[in-house]
Amino acid sequence: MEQEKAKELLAKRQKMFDDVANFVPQKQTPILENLFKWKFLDTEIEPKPTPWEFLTNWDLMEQVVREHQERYDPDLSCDIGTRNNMNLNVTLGHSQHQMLNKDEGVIQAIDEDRLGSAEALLEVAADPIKYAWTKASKITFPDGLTFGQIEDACKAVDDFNNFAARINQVMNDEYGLPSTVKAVSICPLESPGMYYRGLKNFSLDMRRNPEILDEYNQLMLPGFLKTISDACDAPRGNAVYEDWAVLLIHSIMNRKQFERFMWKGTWQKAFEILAEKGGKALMFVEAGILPIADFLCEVPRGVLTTYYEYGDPFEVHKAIPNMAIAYYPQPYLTYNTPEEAVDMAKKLVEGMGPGYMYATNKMIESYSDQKRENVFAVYNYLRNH
Amino acid sequence: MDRNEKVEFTMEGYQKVLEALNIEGVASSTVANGNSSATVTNDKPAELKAALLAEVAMNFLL
Repeated sequence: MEQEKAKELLAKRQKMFDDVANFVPQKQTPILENLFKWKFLDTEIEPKPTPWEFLTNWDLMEQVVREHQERYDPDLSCDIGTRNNMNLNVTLGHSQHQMLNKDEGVIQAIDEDRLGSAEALLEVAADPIKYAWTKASKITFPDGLTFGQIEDACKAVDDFNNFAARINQVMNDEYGLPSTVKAVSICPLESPGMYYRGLKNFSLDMRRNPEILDEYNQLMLPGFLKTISDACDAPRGNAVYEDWAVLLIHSIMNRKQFERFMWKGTWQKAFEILAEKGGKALMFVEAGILPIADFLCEVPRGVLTTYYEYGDPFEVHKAIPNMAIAYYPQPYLTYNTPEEAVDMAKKLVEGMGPGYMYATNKMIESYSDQKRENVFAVYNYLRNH
Repeated sequence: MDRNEKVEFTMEGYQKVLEALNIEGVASSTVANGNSSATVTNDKPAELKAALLAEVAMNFLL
């Protein structure tokens, strides 16, 4: 595509997502994709590389990202080969999984504790790198690491970052595909819950050591809020949203815990900053959102688009009418006919109104998770309804 | 440092690794560290190496 045309298309796409956030009616429904492995399985590159070859060869990765964009032409993508830096984990050799059901090939990440105690969270807050290097290292790598492994890991980070910069530019300049966000903000207690302490220990910490969690939250809060504030102040460039936000650990919290650890002074404040500065967030939510609907109702219209995968979208829309919604039920791409998949898209577009956009479920991984013909049919409808 | 040498998980060990790191041929790198991110280029190799090693270290917590 000529650079001038790509520039026009990129600006058009930015406006489409702005309009969804602001509930402005439009002629077509924007398409947000989030495909990690599926595009490797869908490729027509011959001989067909394995997924691992794509993840270790950045030229091949660029080829498949271009091929996918040319074939499906989504309006925004959370993964242009840049969602997961698998090479880093493989180089270091951690992040273990266990087999839950050998016959069905079901695996699960092991719920690990990298700290050993809730108190250690305060040491993490004081100096994260020092804690990670001098203490977490001994839990994560009991057999130690060689200098070669560290050097290769640094190289893996560098290669990944360089590829991310390069592919972003390519997608902006040649395909008119905007960058998704200006910044990524992680609420202070997400990482301790999801990673540092593991789900089980964090769940106990919320009951036994809530003051420590409060203290950690307060220590990390300025950095979290500054990331969002700085993103709002930065020029828009080619991005759509100011902030990529996630809600993950809320799934093991009750309402009172959510209010204490993640809402008051935390997300509540972050949304205030976004609203004051005219910023927008795309918030990815795992698990249900209805139990915390009344908190999200406080967010002014135009600030929040939620990208979620679980629950009845009409119920969510009714409960949180100020929030734009990015959603599509993945089984319709797998088990139904193209006509039925289009009918579902139509039901969502017409039923949800202008604050709706299509989004891929990020769990689409196996090739059978979505059929090409269904994707083409749904995208064609979304572009031309 | 020899590539097969075990690193020491002390701050002195961290410094030793940082000094020994040889990252060549890098154009530029946007390095995320915790909640912040910054673009570091090879005009400042010391900063780039520090940012990369910090990101690797932070991964020990995951």
